[in-house]
Amino acid sequence: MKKRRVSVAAILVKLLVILLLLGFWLAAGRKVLKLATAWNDFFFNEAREIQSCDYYYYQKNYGGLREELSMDGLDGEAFGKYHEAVQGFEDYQQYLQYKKADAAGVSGAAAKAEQYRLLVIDNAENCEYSENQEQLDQYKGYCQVNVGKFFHT
Amino acid sequence: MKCKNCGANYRTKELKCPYCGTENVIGRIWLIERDTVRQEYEEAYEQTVKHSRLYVFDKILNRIILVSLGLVPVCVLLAALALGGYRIYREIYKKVHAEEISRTVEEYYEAGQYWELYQYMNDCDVLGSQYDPYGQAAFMGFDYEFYKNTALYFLSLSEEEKQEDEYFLDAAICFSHDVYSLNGGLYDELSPQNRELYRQNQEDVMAFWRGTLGMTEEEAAFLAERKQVESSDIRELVEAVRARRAWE
Repeated sequence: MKKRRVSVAAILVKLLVILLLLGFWLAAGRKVLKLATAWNDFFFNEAREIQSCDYYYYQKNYGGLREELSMDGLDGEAFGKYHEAVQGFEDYQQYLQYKKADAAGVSGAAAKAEQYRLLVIDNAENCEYSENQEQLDQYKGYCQVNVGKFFHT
Repeated sequence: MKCKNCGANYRTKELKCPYCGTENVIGRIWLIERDTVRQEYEEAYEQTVKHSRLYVFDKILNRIILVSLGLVPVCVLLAALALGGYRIYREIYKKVHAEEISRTVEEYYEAGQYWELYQYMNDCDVLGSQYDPYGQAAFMGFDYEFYKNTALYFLSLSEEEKQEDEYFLDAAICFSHDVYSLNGGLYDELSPQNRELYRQNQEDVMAFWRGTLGMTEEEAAFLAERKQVESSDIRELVEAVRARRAWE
């Protein structure tokens, strides 16, 4: 009969192999978990997405909110409030951008600034979500106070 | 011992007399006893070893390795099947819904929703050639979206945060330059339909540089003239822009 020998060295090698395999399975497991989370997020994410949007919204970080909305493709009634706030901020920033560009002598900027000024006013006057009204009115106020101030035309 | 037949001397362990070949009964008995003792020893050894901790541990390790190694090809095979199946599904979906896809693409394009166009074309895996007008507009929308997001993110920061920021201003300048230079001239053979879109994007970026960031004419021209900008140049511009605080 053949004697079965169990050496400590062989066991150590096996332990090493198992550690390597464990590393592999951990990495694979993480990947699977990530995919599962993405899958879950894709189908059951609205509450979490709203929470995430709220985080930026209450900090008035409309840039971060815009990124959140556009990168994750968040649309629909549940996100209407955020879209309105972001659009209001964006139009206001566009207005400021063209107004300053006009002051710096960039040709055609004045017309664009006027176009965005009207948009900012329109955003405030046709606000659908009362939570945004104050902020949109503020933008409108800045636009009305500074109208024509920096324009070359 | 002495042979009963020929009287020759030989060793007791021998089974036969080496001289006349007469069978040695004592030798046979000795052999049987030796085999019995050896078998008993082997059995006792096996029993002892099998119940030792090291042996049990070794057995467990063997099974773990066997299961783990066995699962690797199974999982790889399953993943390959899933990916392959998904690709086939996408190809079939593209062929079956070709009309719907092209209609939706056109709708996004006509509505000027270039970022949504990019997302949709990417999801449907129809971005394809960058030279078709839709793909081109989608890529331009992609660049513009990154520029706008980073620029507005930077502008949303408080004044303190803006001074400490080490990412958004740099990124906004880099991404806006991508928009202005058509991503370093990556797709500079613009289709006629997209030239107006490109002009508007350039106008917007120029207003951002000169207006919001307060760049001088020379600085804006420096960016506008180059397809690629060195990171050291961007750093210099960021420093100059940050010092001016034109956005305030």
